[in-house]
Amino acid sequence: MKIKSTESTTISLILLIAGALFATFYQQGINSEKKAYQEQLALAFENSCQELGDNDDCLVAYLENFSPNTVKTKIETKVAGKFSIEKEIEIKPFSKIKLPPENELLDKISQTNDLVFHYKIAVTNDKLEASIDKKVIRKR
Amino acid sequence: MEILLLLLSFFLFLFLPGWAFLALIFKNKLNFLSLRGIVFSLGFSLLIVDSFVLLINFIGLKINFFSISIIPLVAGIFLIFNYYRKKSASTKIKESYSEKQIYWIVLLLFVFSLTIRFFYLSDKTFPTATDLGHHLYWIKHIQTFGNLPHYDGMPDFIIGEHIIFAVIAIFSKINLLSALPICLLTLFNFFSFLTIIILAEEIFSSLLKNPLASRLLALISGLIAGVLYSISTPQSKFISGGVIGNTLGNFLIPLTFIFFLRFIKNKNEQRDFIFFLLFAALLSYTHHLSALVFALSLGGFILGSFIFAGLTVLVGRKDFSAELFSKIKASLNWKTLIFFVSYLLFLFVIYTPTYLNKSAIDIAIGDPIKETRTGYSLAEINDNIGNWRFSIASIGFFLLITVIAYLVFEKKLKEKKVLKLFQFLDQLGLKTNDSVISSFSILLLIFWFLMLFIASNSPELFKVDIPSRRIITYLTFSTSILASFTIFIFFSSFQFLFKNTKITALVILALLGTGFFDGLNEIDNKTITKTSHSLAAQVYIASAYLAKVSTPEEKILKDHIYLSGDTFSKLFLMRGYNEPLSRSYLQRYNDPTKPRETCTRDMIAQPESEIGKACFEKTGVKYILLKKDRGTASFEKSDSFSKIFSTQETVIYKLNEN
Repeated sequence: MKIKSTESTTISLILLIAGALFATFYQQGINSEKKAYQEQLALAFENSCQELGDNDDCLVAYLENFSPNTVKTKIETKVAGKFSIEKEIEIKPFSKIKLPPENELLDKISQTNDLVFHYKIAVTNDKLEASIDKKVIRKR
Repeated sequence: MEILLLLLSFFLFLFLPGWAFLALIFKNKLNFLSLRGIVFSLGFSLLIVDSFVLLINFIGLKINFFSISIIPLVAGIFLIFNYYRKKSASTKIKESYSEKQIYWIVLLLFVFSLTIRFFYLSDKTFPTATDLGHHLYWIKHIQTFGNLPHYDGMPDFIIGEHIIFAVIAIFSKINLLSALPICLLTLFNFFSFLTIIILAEEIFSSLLKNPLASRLLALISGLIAGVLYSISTPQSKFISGGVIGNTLGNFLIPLTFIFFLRFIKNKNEQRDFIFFLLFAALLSYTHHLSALVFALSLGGFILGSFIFAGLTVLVGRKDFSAELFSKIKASLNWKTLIFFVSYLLFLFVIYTPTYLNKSAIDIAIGDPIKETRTGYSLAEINDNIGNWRFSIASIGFFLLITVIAYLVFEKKLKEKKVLKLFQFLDQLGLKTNDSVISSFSILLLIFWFLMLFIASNSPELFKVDIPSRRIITYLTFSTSILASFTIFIFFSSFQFLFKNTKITALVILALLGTGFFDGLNEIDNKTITKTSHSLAAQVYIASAYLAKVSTPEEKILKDHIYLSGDTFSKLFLMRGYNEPLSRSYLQRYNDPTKPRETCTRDMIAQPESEIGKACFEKTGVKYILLKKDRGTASFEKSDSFSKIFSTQETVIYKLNEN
């Protein structure tokens, strides 16, 4: 097949440069995606924590590209609005931490009506802050 | 590796199938490595891939890696076979661009156009646009379930918008929540203005004596459409906004017109008529608004041609009407019949586009009532198209009407030697031996512009009940070609009058320079400022969490007002297009035309009220995703909700179990 060499060469060149430009563009997209997820911190309660030995709620920390790779966390458990336990722990990325046992608090309380347990968890470091707050009604 | 896979997928599904088809049809006469070769390859590839996927879905085959791999496999085998086949000895199809002009394309259009686009889009590749989120849900549906969706009957989505994206994603296995959609949209957008170059040349090649002139004119059209106005809608802004249908439509409309013009210009070219019909059909399977706009333009042209032919008979020219009837005769044959039977089979048996139902048609057709649909004033059209482009195009519009008058009355005027203006036009290089074909080519451009102008300005005349801001974007291409004609006439006139290339070049540069500033005025500080996608990333992390902890029975409500990228949440859940529920902009709840549900608003605004509680009961909402400090106060205070998830800027509340 005879072809016009000039046009073919030029179109080949266009395709090559376009390919390179698209590759750069796509790489830019990957970088942009990485940047968006950089230094993200998320805290959450999880329903299933079987690996921790029971099925109760536990705390999960998602940390993306954090330096240092752990953050200090304060967990406060309150019941009946007054009795409370405070605990400071360190969380690593994607770690699951069992919440403080409620029995310690329950023992202190003589009330027989239903109780609202209030878990307050706050994570802070120099840059970011996140907190979660769960209310659980325990029937007595 | 991922990048190579992306480029390979583009080649295998966007070029190879079309290339193989062209090699078969044109018997190796059309070179793939030519402007028409690569543009037509993309068009035919889209046609082949869409048709193939519709067919395999119809016969019940899963749309997966193995089934779609048949397309490049068959195309590859055919090309290898074709390569060793005896080459046809017939004449090659004319290739348009000389060496010098090809470098014009490379320099002006390719480099400028792509680099300006990439510059503008470089920090917008992370997908967050609302429309894109809606589209990607259906694309992921095809990828996840291996079949084509019927969009729950919603007429806003059309299958052709999604098939090619799904095929590329399935084959390359690249996550849809990446730069893939924007890359693919950029490619179609880039090709849409290459298509404009070819179309402009097809329109003017029968009018201008010097082929170099029509090529120059075509390049100016490409320059205006693809470089000077490369940021404004429907160019880069449509890409970053994830407007898939319009972007594909803007590629397919000029491509369909190219084959229609080839049919008009070439003698007995039934093949081009069938290609025109095929691309018109593809358009109807790709984007309803583009198909409507195309039908309006073509309808205007056909009606206008009959009126024009009738008028020319009155002035003693029967050749126009004779040509018109010969084309009608050429279009009516058994191939056309086979096409229409196949198309109806596709429409009513294989896959019916969701917009083809009475209620959807009733919504789009009728007297426009809403303020946003009653049309734009001339000044607003001017602003939207670009002051410079629209002004220059308006001159071009009237110049072309003059040219048609000249073509009709040419002989009489010459005999009488009355109008020096027409003689002047003749000396500029207008072709006189092919006035019939030239007139019809010009009429197509004129009616393309005129019909869309009327639809944008006075939609009630056509009973079009569609947002006017959407119709107006379709004016950009016809105005670019019209503007290029004005520049060409300026160029020729100066050259003819002053016989001084330097003066002419200066005038043209000044003219284009003004256009450059007008077209690129949207590259301002706001455009250059890097966008942060941190909030959208947090919404995606929250959505992934919700997909993990919630069950399909537990409904989720998110806040579209303050969150970014929230329409992508449905991609994480894949529990239906309407999940999660969404609080929309508050004005949308006050619709005078019909009552709207208000629970999605009330559950966030007043969760503890009787209305709020009743809404939670009614909708089954258990989780609420909000932006921090935006409507969160009521949830913080309430004992009924727990904050179970938090990032820096997002929070999820869960309705406590009693």
